[in-house]
Amino acid sequence: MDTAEPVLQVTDLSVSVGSTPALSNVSFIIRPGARVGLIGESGSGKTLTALSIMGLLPDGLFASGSVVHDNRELLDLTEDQLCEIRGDRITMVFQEPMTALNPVMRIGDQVAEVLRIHRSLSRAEASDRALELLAQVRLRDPLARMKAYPHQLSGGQRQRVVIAIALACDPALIIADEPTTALDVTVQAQILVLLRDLVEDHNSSLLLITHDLAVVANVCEEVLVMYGGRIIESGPTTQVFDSPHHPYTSGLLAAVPEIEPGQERRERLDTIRGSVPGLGQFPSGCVFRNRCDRATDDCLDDPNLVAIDGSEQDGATRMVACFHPIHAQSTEASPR
Amino acid sequence: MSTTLAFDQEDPTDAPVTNTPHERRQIGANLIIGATIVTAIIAAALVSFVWTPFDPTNIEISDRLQGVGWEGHVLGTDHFGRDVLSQLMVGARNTLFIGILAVGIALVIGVPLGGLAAARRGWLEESVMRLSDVMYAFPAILLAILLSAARGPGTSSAMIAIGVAYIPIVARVTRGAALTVFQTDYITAAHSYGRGKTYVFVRHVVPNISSVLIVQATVLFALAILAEAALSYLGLGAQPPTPSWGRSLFEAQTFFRLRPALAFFPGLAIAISVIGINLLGDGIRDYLDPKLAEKS
Amino acid sequence: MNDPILEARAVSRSFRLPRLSLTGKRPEIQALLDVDIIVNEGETLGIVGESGSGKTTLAHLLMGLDQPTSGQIQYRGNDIATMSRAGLRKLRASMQIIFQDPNASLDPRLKVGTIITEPLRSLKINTDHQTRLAELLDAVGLATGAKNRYPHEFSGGQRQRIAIARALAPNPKVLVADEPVSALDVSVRAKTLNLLQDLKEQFDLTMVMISHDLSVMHHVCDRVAVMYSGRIVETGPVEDLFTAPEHPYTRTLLSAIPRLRGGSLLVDESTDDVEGASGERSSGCSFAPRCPLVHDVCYADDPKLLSLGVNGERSVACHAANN
Repeated sequence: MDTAEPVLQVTDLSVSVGSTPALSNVSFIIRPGARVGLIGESGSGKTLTALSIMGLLPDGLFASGSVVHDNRELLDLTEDQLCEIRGDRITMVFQEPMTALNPVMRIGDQVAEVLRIHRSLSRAEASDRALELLAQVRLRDPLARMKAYPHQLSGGQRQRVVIAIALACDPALIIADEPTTALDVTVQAQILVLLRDLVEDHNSSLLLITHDLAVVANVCEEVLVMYGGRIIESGPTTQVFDSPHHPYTSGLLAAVPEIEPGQERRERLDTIRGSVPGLGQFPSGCVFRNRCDRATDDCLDDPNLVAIDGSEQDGATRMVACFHPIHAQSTEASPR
Repeated sequence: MSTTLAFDQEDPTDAPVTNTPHERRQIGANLIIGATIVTAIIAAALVSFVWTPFDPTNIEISDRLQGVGWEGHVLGTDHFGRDVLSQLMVGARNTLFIGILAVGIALVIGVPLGGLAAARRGWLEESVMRLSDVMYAFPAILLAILLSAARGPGTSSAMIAIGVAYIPIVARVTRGAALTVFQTDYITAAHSYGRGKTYVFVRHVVPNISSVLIVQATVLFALAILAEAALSYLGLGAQPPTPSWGRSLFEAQTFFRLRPALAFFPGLAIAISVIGINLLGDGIRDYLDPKLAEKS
Repeated sequence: MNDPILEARAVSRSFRLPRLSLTGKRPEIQALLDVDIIVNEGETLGIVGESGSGKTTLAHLLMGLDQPTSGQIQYRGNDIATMSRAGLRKLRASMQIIFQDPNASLDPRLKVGTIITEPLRSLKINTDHQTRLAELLDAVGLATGAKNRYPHEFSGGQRQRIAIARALAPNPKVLVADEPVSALDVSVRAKTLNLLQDLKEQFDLTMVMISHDLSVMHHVCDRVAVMYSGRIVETGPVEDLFTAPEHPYTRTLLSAIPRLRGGSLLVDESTDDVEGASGERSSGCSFAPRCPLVHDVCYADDPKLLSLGVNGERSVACHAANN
């Protein structure tokens, strides 16, 4: 049993848009050094989860529940206190590296700025450290790049700079929201490997938010699957992807075209019936029941996310929120 | 019908995301207030054709500079003893006429010009934009003086001068907004099924930049009212005795210490109509946007 | 193999950029260089490449939406540059395109019914528009009520269906799909791909699919052309090309795909930071700076796209592979 205190403990996190729940009782932990993937389609609440953790919810939205980092309840902190944590202990990497960087500021200054704010380093010290960081993100000729402006770099190079900024203060947790969606395939591979390695080198944890299951399979050892504003399945990535318990996870995996050399390609991809309902139009009880082939009257109740016995692996437990999970040995989900 | 039930049976066709049918367009507060003000001004102008409390041009020196409410003069009299309310009502005609036609000239010439520049990049765009730079750099007042010299001073000269001065503004705004629309995929799609650039501009680009144009037009309308006032002050606008808000305002200057109210009313009329027209513009823009129509 | 329906012969396209200085020459970007490609009737041809590789430029040229700087595009053996007006209208009807971003490909100010029947009006096709509209909505799996709504009332996947319905309206022979599923969610993506495959059979379409996603390509295409820096570096039947890639760039691409199961990303660290293709080119093979098999000859000579083996189904432009 891993007894180290989690880097982030999210308990019953809920967010409502007006009277419509957009996130319902989201609970998970991120252990030190863990790389966790958060998977979901649009409208699943994955981005809302990240924004709640960072205290960056749009005006008019409020999170309830609890988000604990380093013995502090993040939801109770003031904006000033949050600013101390953001960019220092918890940092973010965004999808579009161009908008995440200031177009009129030199690369080196942008990296150094974070260090000057959070580490109160002198100009020279910060600049030295920035150079070191740019070398760590394997930017070619970092000394020359220090003087460059964002538009002079390619998309992949800019994302490297964003990662350097995110790593600058050796954060406890990096939240990466679709960090490679805007990049080409070969660049995506480089950035993913870089992110994976550097998170390890800096003893940080990673929460990787993406719609791309294959990206999670290659970077994260744990995965959380979201649908309709809740986590419906979680556990070690290989286990979840090899034998998904939730019908939604299973459907999602079957919908991905895969290149399997030597195997006949499938004529048609498997699909999930219906489409993701709009906000506020999810059914009562199990949010997936209107699209689920296994649904019965049991599913009119809301299933809890419960652990599956004996599934623990390296401290990560498999959990599923389903009354009729696919080939799970001993699960009895209890109604909420 | 509950949404849940609709999904319960196997349904090969997807229901649209919003389950409410297309809703009526929303009439916002801006639209209501703006429309009310503008309607009131138009009504005042129209009524002035058949009735005004007094003859607006009737000079009665003995009644000069009387206060509000004096012997039936609801807003008092000016330095020639003319009724202020009557003058304002007739002045509204002049204001509307100048505003509508000046903006009309600017739009009718500026929009196609800007569209042309956006549609045909290259030397044509360069020439159109440099030409509009030249016009932009040419002072409108000078233009008005030249026109007055050629055609004689008067409302129509002022109106043409203002309209022409606004052409480059409209052309620039149109070009900028149209450039982005021309690069969207639905324009490429339209070309792929054989639509030419002119059709695409009228059918797809103009509706999609209409919000920008409407706002720009109302801003220019408001500016035109102010410009008319300035030109009238220089003697290049409406000629006496034709009443004009701008001239009334500047004539009132002389008596400002004696009768501040005399400057106040034409000033108020200008301010209210400028606000009203701007609100109307914002209101129409929101009304025409199908995305805003759906929110309730 | 069926007859070619579309053919590009030695097509190049360059774009001139705005002047950088008052006196300097306007810089040029070579978007396509000497591209030869054949699209056979009834097949699905995939064009794979990263951003800046020229794949969208090629698609626009094939459709006659843009004119090549040099070279020729032929539709059923006729040069489209010399076509008459009537011929061009026919051509427009026979080739349609769908785009990546379904938000940007539909005019937000028009109702869905108007959008889908626009091509019929534009091309003056004499059918009952309402009947055709109902057919098309049904074919793409949308309810008839959709025609009275605006695009923003639909989800991304549904909007892509609307775009597909519009493209099918004039009964085209060739459908060009430019990254048709890249902007869609995983489960919607699968449905859209299935739909495209169904429609291809139902309407006897020839498809040209442009994508950077090799898994999608592998799933739907019969033949694939790999583009790099404005030229085609390898073509061949999809299975052959994916199991035995000849060009080092194709190999790099294939190894970069994140796999769902049991895969681990392989990154050649030496290629870090050499990305995409810039407009400037020096002599020789444009992949040479990133290539693990690079020789002196690669910097001196630009390799030609040569067919491999006997049946001529595969071609590759690489000095190492051609020897």
